[in-house]
Amino acid sequence: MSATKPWARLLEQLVAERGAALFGYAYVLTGDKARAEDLVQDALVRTFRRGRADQGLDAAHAYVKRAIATAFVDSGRRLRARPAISDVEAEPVASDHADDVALALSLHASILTLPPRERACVVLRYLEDLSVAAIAAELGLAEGSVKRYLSDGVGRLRAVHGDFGLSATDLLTGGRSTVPVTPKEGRS
Amino acid sequence: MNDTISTSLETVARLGAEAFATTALATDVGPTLRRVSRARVARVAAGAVAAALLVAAVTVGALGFGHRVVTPAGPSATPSPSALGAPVMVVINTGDTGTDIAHTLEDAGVIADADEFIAVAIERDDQTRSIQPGYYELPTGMSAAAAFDALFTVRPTVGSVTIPEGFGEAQIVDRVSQVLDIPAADLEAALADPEAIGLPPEANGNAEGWLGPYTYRFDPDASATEVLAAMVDATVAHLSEAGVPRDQWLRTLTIASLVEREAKLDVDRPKIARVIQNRLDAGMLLELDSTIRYAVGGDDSVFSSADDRQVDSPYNTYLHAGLPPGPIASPGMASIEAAIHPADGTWLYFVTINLVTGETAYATTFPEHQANVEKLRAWILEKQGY
Repeated sequence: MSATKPWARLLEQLVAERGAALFGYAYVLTGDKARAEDLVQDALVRTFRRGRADQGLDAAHAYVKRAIATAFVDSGRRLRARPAISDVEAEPVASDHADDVALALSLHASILTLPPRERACVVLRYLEDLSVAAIAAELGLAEGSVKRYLSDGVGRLRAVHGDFGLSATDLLTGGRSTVPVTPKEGRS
Repeated sequence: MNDTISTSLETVARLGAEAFATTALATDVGPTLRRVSRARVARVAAGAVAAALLVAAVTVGALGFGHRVVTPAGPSATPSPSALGAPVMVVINTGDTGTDIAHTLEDAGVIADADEFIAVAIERDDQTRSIQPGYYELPTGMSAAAAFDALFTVRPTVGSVTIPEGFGEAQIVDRVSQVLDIPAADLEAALADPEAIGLPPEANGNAEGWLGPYTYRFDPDASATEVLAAMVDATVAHLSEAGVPRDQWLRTLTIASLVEREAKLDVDRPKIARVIQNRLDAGMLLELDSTIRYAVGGDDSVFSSADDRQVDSPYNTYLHAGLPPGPIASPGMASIEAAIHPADGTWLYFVTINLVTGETAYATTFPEHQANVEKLRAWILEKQGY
């Protein structure tokens, strides 16, 4: 299918070039491929139906990411029964010799037990390296709420995984102010 | 440093990204484009209606002001029973989620806060699912709960169209064009793209007979392609559900269309299907006037003239053996059922002997048939002037 309208071409380009990144982002939030796909699709529709995205690939990418995050937080409201965080003992996180993927999945599994708002805040803080102010803007929440969600969320993660190198001060003071949309060159 | 959690989340994001290739979205962005397209058209339409109503509201406001100037102010004007504003038209599309509806209502000014509506929609999830698509005229300035209730009390206007059984493609284009206000040229253009309307290869690119004669509901902003695709889809679904093997689709639909145009009463459908089958088996010409009418075009007359029967067309079953190359009309379910399950019988001929009741007589031999034709002549004589 070859689209003729500018917005349609941009949407196709976005899906072709950034679809995997957007899907990965949604997958981190949901931990479920079907829900991640729904989330990305809904976010694309929400973004493009208003002509918000008609300003280039990066702008569109940023808008869709925001739509994914807000739609995820919205969708969380319908999850009545939230999975309770498990009471398992905190495991020490082995550092250098651990199987990175196993660790990542285990940590992700814990993050998936967090309520949606806490989860979104934690993901935006650590995956996106956003500051509290930037997270608040991205999710449409008050900064104070974001601080509380981050503290609560990280507190719950600590209960399961122990201290995995999180600094409490950095948690609330660090981070960048804009949403990254270009492929990361690697982290300092 | 937060390397552990950051690196872990990046790993999960990467694993997720790798799975993207397996999603429907990665394979075909078409459905998403269509959803956006629909929403964009709907927004333009809703915007135009809202703008028109705004102009109306401003005009009324000015008149009201003039009225107040000449009326002495009473000591206690009756307070307005509510703070509701001028009504606006909003469009709810098929597949809209509670969140979509919330944003539509917020954008139109019906409600102030989409989030409040979303909360209600989630709270009353079962009801949310039953909200019907259509145009809703709603007052502005409603509470979220009132707006939610209004979606069940306000009757939406929707595009509903009924295609009668036996309609041909041209009649269907006329009907859809009139009822759904879609330009006939758009429908004809859509018919010229068999793939876009989902016509199966078995149709050989000709939609005649494949547009199911049923009643459909469409979104207010449905396109010509969407409307025709729904009709093709209904026929394909019906053939599949009836257990017709795919290589028999065209044949079944063609016979059913002949039955549809020849039979008046349901009892005759399986019998006429049997006659068609017996004639095909015997290598006889079908000699059905309905196919002449189709080849010649024009009115719905029951009979064909000697001239008409000479028309040079593959649909002329007086000249060409076997079935016509495709259906001649959209057959209804009863005719399709008759084509699948013809009645038992040895008949090779049939003729309607009472044009009012549609009573039909069947014959196995030509002399028997001629006797039946005489009955028809007698009936016509008796009803001179019919």
